Amino acid sequence: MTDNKMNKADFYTSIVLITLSIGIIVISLRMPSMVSKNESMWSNPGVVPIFIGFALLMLSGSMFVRAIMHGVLRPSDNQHTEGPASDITPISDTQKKLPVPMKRMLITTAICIGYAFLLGTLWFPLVTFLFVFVFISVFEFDSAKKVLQQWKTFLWAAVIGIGTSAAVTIVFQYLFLVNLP
Amino acid sequence: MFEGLNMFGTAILSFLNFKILFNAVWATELGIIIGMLPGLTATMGVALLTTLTFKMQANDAILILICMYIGAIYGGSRSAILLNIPGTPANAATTLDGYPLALQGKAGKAIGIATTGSFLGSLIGMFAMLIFTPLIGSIALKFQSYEFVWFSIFGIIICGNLTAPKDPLKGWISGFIGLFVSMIGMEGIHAYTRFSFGSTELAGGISLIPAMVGTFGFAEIISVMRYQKFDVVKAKIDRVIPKPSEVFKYWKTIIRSGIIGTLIGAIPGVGEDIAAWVSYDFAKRGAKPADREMFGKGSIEGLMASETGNNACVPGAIIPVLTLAIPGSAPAAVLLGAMLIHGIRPGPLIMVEFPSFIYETVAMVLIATVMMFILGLTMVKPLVKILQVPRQKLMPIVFTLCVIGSFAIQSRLFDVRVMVVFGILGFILREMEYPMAPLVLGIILGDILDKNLRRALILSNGSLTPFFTRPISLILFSLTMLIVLSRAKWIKTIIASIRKKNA
Amino acid sequence: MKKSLYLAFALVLLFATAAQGAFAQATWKPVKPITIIVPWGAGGSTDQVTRVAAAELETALGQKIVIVNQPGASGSVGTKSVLDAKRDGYTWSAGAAADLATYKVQGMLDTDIRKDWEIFLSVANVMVVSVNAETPYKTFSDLLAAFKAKPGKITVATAGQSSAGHIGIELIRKYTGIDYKHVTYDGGNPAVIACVSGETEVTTQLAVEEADMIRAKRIRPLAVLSDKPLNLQGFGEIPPITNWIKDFKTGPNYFGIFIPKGVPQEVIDTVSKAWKDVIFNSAKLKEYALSRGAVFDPSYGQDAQDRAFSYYQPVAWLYYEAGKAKISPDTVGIPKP
Repeated sequence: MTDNKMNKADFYTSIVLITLSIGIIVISLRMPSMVSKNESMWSNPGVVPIFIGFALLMLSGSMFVRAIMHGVLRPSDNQHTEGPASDITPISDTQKKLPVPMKRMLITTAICIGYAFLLGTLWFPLVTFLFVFVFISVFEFDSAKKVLQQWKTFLWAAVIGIGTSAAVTIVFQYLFLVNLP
Repeated sequence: MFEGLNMFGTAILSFLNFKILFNAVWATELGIIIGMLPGLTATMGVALLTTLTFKMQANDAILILICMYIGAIYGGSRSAILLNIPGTPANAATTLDGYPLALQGKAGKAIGIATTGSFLGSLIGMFAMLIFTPLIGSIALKFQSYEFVWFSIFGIIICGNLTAPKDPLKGWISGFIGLFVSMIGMEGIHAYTRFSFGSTELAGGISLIPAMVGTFGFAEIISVMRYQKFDVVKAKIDRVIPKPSEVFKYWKTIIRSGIIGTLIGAIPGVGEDIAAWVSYDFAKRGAKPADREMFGKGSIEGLMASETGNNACVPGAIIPVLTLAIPGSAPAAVLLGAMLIHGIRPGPLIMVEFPSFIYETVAMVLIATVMMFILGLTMVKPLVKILQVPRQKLMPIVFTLCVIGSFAIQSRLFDVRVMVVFGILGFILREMEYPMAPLVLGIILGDILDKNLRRALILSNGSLTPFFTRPISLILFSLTMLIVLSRAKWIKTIIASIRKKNA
Repeated sequence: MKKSLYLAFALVLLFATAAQGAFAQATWKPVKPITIIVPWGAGGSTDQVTRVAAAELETALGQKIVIVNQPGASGSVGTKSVLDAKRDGYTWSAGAAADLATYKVQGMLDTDIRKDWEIFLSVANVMVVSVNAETPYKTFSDLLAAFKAKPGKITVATAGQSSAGHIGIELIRKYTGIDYKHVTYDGGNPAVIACVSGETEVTTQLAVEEADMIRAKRIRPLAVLSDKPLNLQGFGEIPPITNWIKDFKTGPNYFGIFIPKGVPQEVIDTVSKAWKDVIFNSAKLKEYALSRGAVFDPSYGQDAQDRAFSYYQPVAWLYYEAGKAKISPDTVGIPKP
């Protein structure tokens, strides 16, 4: 990120963090006192979160001040409106819609989330196989070629999927005695 | 003393037989593997083997557990170097220099240095065990609630400062967010549920391992998969075993890190993770200005410091186990439990009841250390090949391991979700240059801070004086302030800009 | 002919009932590792005794037993996940029976020890009042006098709310009306260490946790919370608290393994049999108990429930009277003693 942009990002995160710290302090102040249970007031559950809330408030507050000092509020003289992800695009494409890295990032996240949420509903080795297979296939799929021409890619993805799922299940369940989801 | 050395010699000789060495080999190798897998920690490995070795002779079982402990703390460095994902929380500092080295095509060398560092660290810790066991043991009792409060704050400040060299403020913010995350769930004194907003899952708290695996593992996967072509590192393996001159160049760092690691190991509750950070910090401060530039960009010295520090911590953590029956770290706590189960009673009476056991333990540490060194330097070449596997084939496997690692310890599906959420959050924060290591350390230290701050205030009736008058407290407080003030560029800028305005 | 037919019929019937009887007693052959969730940290007293017992059971059941530590909120977090697990007999819990019985009273977890659990008890633990070796208190009456002279000033280390140590000092408070400063730690061992290092003056934790430090003369035991003295290997006799407080009543605090009800009956039958055959004669457990100052006293079934009751009944009412319970023990079937 450019310094200017980072400063802007810092400005907004500091506002989020200040809100968070105030939230922490308010909720902590409302926590019950244990004095009635014959315990010291210093053992109250709110004591330490209040401390952390204040520390976070001071840190984010100084970031807020710093961002203003660095000129966040001053009207920017170089008015370029970049997309939020363009600065993290060293191999940027000419594509107009969504920058490729952003797209790849979203696909990765989506497949992984899908896997994490399917666990526990289906048989573990099956979900794992599906996950590995889909992950590799999606990222190795070449839209320029025909689907059938890429049977080798899919075969490999399937082989790795089966291998991973079998190895992981055997090693963890029987060697490390870990429960699998 | 002389009698001690004699007992130590006898113990080593008695261990040199086929069965014991065979046990040491498989236990150490298993430890290295567990350490390498993100999410499976040394604590879990030792606990697993405690159950499996129950039927064995006490000495065989304890040797296996120590091999596992040392192997796992070392093994974590491998995934830190090769994948930028620390295998155990102890290896977070190793990613700072280990991964850049791997990107420069020096993965083999980095593993060699990490192995040598771990080996020397363990050796220094072992010598400390041999000579100072009674002395270091009693230091542990000097650390009481007030000191632990400072220690947890000191840890956050030091780690934030190191991982965000450009902007320490973000490191500290990340650390305090970690402290806050550890507040979520049922607290440890009154079982009052904090910040759960009615969710029973959140009431159980956010565990360290899923959060760590998420912020380091999943976030790394997203960030790697972003680019279509990942520069395949041309890992022409130069040489794995470092030249002696390369190692001895850093003798000051090695000895310093070894001593720091051992001492921190001896302090109850704070373990390998802090040891690595503190020795890394001292190494950076002690380095020549030209070398200091390299820290965080692939410094051999930095890598050496963190790995020496975390492995020196292991024998250090065993010292108070033996002399006071106080574990110096979480895996050492399980080790203590195992000793008790096997009928060995460590504690203040050990010198009277089982005097030879101390020396036997030292000998076990030595065997485990040597084993780790040998196994660590073999099989490196095929391992480094991991770097050449196309990322779209490797990452789904790594993610599967992340999922199991998060699930393994508590068998809660909620933990898998925590891992995913922290991965995404961690990725966003990383993009804004917030380091993740202080966040993870904050989650570790939050519990220590929570209980000790309240306990200290109960003991002092709310007075803050003891925090500043007790000798160790005062030292820790001064060190903390020194770091904050020396790095507070923002204060300087504010003052400067106010001056500018006034002028 | 007819007679022999009848005879044959009767024989078949006999066999059938015998077979059925045998079937009811059918042994359970676990086909995968059993998980015991210890709701406390690894290496603590519950963890240790559970690992010893589990290893003994492994041989009897012919299957691995995996111990998972799931600490949090006085053990209620781990206990809840056992309750939530599938009732196929492969997920058990472990700990102190009194905890299981009082979670509901304290509003921590909705479970009833008698309705929801089959309990298998192995050892019993007692609390010991000990003081830092440097303190001037030589006998329990010295300590009582100090408590009365400085109400709310003397620090007592325990493993936390509703821990054994806390119950101990609360019982003393109930009988004597003293006031103390409660300082809580992460477990029994850290609490004892705090007393050794001088951070607190007194600890009232379990003998198991204090044993080593007592033997090393780092802490001085003043009284055991029982009506019988405790003989600690390598130390000698610790006098009972009834020497000072005549009407002091408490039972032994039993620890064991718990299986949630609703699992197949053969699981309960098989574990009961294993408990009787193996645990009752376990040399390892006996040795463990003797060296740690615990009492080896295994039981199961209704017998175990009765033994546990004798301890948790007064404890539940103690919580209620001290204002630390959410609901009256009456409402969960624990009558006032």
